[in-house]
Amino acid sequence: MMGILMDGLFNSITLILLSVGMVLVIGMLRIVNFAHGALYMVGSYVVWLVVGQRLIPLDNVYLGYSIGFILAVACVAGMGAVIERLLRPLKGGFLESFILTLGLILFLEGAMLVGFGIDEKTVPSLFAKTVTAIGFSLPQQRLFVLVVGIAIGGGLWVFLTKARIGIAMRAVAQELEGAALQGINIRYVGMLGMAIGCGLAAAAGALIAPVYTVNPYIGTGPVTKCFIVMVLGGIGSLPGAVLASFLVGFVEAISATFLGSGTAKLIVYFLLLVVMLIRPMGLYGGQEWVHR
Amino acid sequence: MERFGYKEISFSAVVAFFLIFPVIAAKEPYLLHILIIVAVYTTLVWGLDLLLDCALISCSQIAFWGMGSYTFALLTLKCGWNPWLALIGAGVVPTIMSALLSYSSVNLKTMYWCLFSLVFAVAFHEMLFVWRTFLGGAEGIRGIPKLPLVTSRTEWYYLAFFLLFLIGAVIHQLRGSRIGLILRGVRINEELARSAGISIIRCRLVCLVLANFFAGIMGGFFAAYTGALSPFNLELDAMFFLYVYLIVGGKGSLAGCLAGTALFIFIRELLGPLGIYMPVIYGTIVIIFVTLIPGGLVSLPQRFLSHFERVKAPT
Repeated sequence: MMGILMDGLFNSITLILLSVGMVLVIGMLRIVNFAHGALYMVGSYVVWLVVGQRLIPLDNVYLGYSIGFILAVACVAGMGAVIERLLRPLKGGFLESFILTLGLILFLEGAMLVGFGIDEKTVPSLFAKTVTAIGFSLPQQRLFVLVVGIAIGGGLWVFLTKARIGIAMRAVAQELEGAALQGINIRYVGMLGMAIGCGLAAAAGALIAPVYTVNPYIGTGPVTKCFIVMVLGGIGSLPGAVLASFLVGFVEAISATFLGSGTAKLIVYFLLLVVMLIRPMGLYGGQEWVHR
Repeated sequence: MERFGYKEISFSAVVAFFLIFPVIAAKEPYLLHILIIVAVYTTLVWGLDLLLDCALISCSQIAFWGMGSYTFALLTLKCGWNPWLALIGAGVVPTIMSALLSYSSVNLKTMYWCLFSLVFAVAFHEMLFVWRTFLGGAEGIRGIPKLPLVTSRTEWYYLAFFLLFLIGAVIHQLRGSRIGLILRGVRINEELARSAGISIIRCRLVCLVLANFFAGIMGGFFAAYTGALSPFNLELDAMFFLYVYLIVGGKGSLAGCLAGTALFIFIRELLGPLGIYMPVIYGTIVIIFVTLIPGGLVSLPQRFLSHFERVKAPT
């Protein structure tokens, strides 16, 4: 029972990190960043380069991993800012930005393929032990992902509700023109939002890298789930994304334990189809997504 | 009598080229094969283009295409239908499915509909893997009967281009019809069109159903032509490539979509030996086209012409 709870939490936390980043980008720029999964993959690669390939020769694994993590987030956040600059001349055209981010997926995956080959890479695990307490056991590595994930999520929440620039970001997400009229520099906020969103993707990638293997195509699966989460929760809604992440993560964990993973996927998709047919704008989605 | 313009002449030249092509390439059946594939994908790209006219960015076109080919395979193999009848069935099933799906979602806005259809495509693709007993799982379906009366590759080629021509004619007529006018009006000024009492919703329904019908028919044709189906043809990557063809060719133009598809598929065949460098090359092409040549290939002649005119103008 605790195992299911922990699996569900683990699934949900990674989904939250990814989908919250994506929702931020939608709020700031009014476009969907389809290259989110590719950026997640790049984050994993940076950690693999630093820790697995010992690009920075450090004897202390923990220090090496921390440096790798920070480097991954910083690199990908910088890439996000560059992508925002590329998107700017498209003037918010949804089709053009859609195809540009598709091109970025191809480019990034191809670059990793050419640069580092197709074989699976493993990032050494930081913690080998398994924690056993009150009747359940959990690998320390997963516990670490949980703790850091929750810390990042909490930090983001504080940033968005307390910091001036975070409040400005929420204002931009609500009403672009209104925010601009209040003297908010919407370009700067947009670039910052894109950088933070991409940085979150990289953080998720860097956290997950030691748990699974790394290859150029690892981004596709999580980002597909992320789309499901957003359609379930309502596109552009942060609480919706968090709620739907928990829903998808736990449904998957529960049905994977009792029914096998193939059926688990099918159940998630069935849930989704039902929501799509009854409430196509998602659980938290407003009427602004519907033509009247 | 009206004089033939640039458009009519180039149109007849293209049709003539495609008609004579099997005679020229009689010794190269592989070229014919590539052109048949081009015809199949062009239909899908045209469908996407038609949906773009009504502000829908569809990611589910490939799923409806796959639905058509799986319908064809199941109808012929499990129900023993005549393949020609099954080809029509392959068009009808996606049509019904898309009408059902549109019932709840047709009034969603562009970005939302894009993700909505994407998730539908993912769900369909997953279902092919999970429902193994009926749909064949990862191995797909083999031994699908061919269409009777169509034997040689040249005949397949002519059938493919006959279908392509029919579909192109329907889309062309649709663009010139009342629905096309409504769509154009909404694209130019949505607020004004709505204040004049024009609603895009019903047009969307027509376009969705038509585009998915075409995709289904071509799916059935593809299943009959190759004789085997694999769910790996229906991955999201394949869907994204359709948009790459669309943007490289030029949106809003039947000829542009055909040119973009043909060019890209030929590039893929020619540069195949480069192997792992291909994704980087594709990605670079796409980024260049989107940022620098947003009109696509079809806008290039116009660009050059207008450049010369601008040079002439001051004198």
